[in-house]
Amino acid sequence: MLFLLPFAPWGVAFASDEASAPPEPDPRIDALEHEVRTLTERLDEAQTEALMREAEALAAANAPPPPPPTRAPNVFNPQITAFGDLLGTWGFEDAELDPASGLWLRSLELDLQADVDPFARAVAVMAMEQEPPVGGAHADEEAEGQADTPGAADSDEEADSHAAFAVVPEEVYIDLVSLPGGFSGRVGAFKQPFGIANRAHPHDYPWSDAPAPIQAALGEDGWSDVGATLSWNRALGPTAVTLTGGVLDGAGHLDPLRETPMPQWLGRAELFVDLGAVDLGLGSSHTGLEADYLGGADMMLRWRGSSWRSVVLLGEGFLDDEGELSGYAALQVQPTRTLYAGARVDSVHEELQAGGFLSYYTSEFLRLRAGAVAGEHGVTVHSQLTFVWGSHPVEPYWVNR
Amino acid sequence: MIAMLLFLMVPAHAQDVVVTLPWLGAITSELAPDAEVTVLAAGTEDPHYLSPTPALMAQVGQADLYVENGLNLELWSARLLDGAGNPSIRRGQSGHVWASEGVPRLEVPTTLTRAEGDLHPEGNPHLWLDPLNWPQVADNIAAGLGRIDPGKAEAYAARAEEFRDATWERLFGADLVAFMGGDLLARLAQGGQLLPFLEQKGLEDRLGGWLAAGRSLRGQPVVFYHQSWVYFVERFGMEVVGYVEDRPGISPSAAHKQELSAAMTAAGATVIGISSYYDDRLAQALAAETGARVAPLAGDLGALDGVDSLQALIDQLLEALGG
Repeated sequence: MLFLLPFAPWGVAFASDEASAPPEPDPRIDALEHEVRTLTERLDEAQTEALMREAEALAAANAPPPPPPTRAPNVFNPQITAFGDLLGTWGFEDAELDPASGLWLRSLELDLQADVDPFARAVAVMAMEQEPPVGGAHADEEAEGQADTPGAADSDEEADSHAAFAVVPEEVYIDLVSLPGGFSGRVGAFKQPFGIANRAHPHDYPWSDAPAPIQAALGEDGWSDVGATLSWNRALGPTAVTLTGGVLDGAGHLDPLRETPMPQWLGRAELFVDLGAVDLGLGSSHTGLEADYLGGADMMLRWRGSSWRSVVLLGEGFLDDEGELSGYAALQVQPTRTLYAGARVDSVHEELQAGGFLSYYTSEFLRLRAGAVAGEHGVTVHSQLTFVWGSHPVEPYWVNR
Repeated sequence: MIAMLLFLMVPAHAQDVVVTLPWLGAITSELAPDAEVTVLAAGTEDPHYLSPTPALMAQVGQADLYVENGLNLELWSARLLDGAGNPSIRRGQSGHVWASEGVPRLEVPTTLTRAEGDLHPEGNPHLWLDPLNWPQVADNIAAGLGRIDPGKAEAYAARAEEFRDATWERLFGADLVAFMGGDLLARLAQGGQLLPFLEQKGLEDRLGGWLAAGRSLRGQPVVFYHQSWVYFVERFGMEVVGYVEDRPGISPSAAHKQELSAAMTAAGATVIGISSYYDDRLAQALAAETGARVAPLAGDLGALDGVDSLQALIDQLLEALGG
């Protein structure tokens, strides 16, 4: 070993030079590091792949069943809605109770609706009806007319008549739903679009009785006729214009003794302005048959504070070819979700009557109502129970929900 | 980007699209920014009830495409379509879209009777309160847009894809979506397996978006006024103690209110969620009795101030319910 001593200083010097210089990269270490990185990445990828496979399997095993296609619930059978309308009507005149007063079934109504084909939708409304025991202005007129007739029914026979039921096809029509250009048509027997209330069925009225001007101008049960109407509806911003023209049989409507085969014409113009919480509808209806004529104007103003609070102001007026004016105005306030309070004033041949009604809905399918109407002929008190079952009906416009 | 290029290549022609509800309008506008989108019901209105007025009929009459939620929610819609004088947008025609087509449904009743209140025979229709359902709806609308405007069909589909990706990122967070893919996460969530899976794999910290923001809601006892929230509850995992309306559409009885009050106290429910269009007096009375708070909830866009987008809608619900 001694022979190495002479080289020791150079060895020390060499060693110190080596320590200060950067180490030469060892290709084997680089290769190992690369291999570790690659293996780590492969491991990560394999773990991720395994995780994804597991996730895929888990998702597949717990996939919810595919939902059935969405469709309207009536496939081929008509949608069927039934309406029951029970009333209690008590008439008082000079503080005496009309002996015909009592409970009665105003109607059991079956509403059948379905698409006929891509072009038409059919509606049939069949009603089993009972005559009212005590009526308003129209019934009074009818009673007066009967009194003038030899052999007019006495009060017992009237009561029997009241007890009888009649089955009436209230409406049977098709809606032409595939007309282009904003047109729609209706053909058949249907309640005519003359004013506002006439288009509704009595159980849908916001009152228990029909306004006297409607009875006087359009008939006790309103005006339903056989014929066809064509409507055109166009929006202009928040405003919509609807124009309707119709040709109708007119049997006995304007002239009970008519001897002409001429059809009766109908025209209606309607302007509807939607201002959000407030909407306003204005309408003008006209109908005629040769020399006979009936005109009408109507207005409905509605404010909706929410789905549960609303105020509706409604009015209709009629002018016949003899210059006789009649009309009514009604106010309905909805202070809560289930409660509606309303008042109505009728004017027929300068004879006034006024009434008030309170309606309570347990649900949208069951309604209780109480009210009274007072006029020159006395006071009529109403109680009403209306119920709907079957397919889901659309509420009339004045029922805000 | 591809969608943008396709839109630039095709000459602009504004389509008139009428949708029944505000959330459908928001999705439609994202898919077709140049379309004229008309929304029939306001967010402040109960979507179950809308008067089919002449003004609405006339708007529907001028539509190229009509989009409705379906599942018997818009009972007024059929009357609008009947009176619109527009055959091309009637149900079954190319201009009509059922938004809910293909969306998994909850609360499909096994027994249909009005004794259970105002049931929806095809299931609960408030499906937009779960963002997981939005992309399917977007696909349905994009398909409808493509039918009436075939030249842009690919662009609509591409936008629907973008909408899907954006929804997954908002729901699950960008990090987790980048790692696992939004569609897989969505399928796991649909089957109720997402959170257990993430916890099992130690990935729960990578969850972001609304599901992370709403994590504190999981298991939280809550009371709602109406059964509108089942889809939201399904996604965010609250425990529903009961409903103020025990049967949909029926005013609660005094006995039910007492039972609910006792159940709330027992479960420790501190929140009563109520859609802004409902009268909150009953909920307030119940809250005063139990010490809970009433949380007004946006049932749709525009229902409350500031809720002007789909994102804001879910943000509001999470915030109001305490998430």
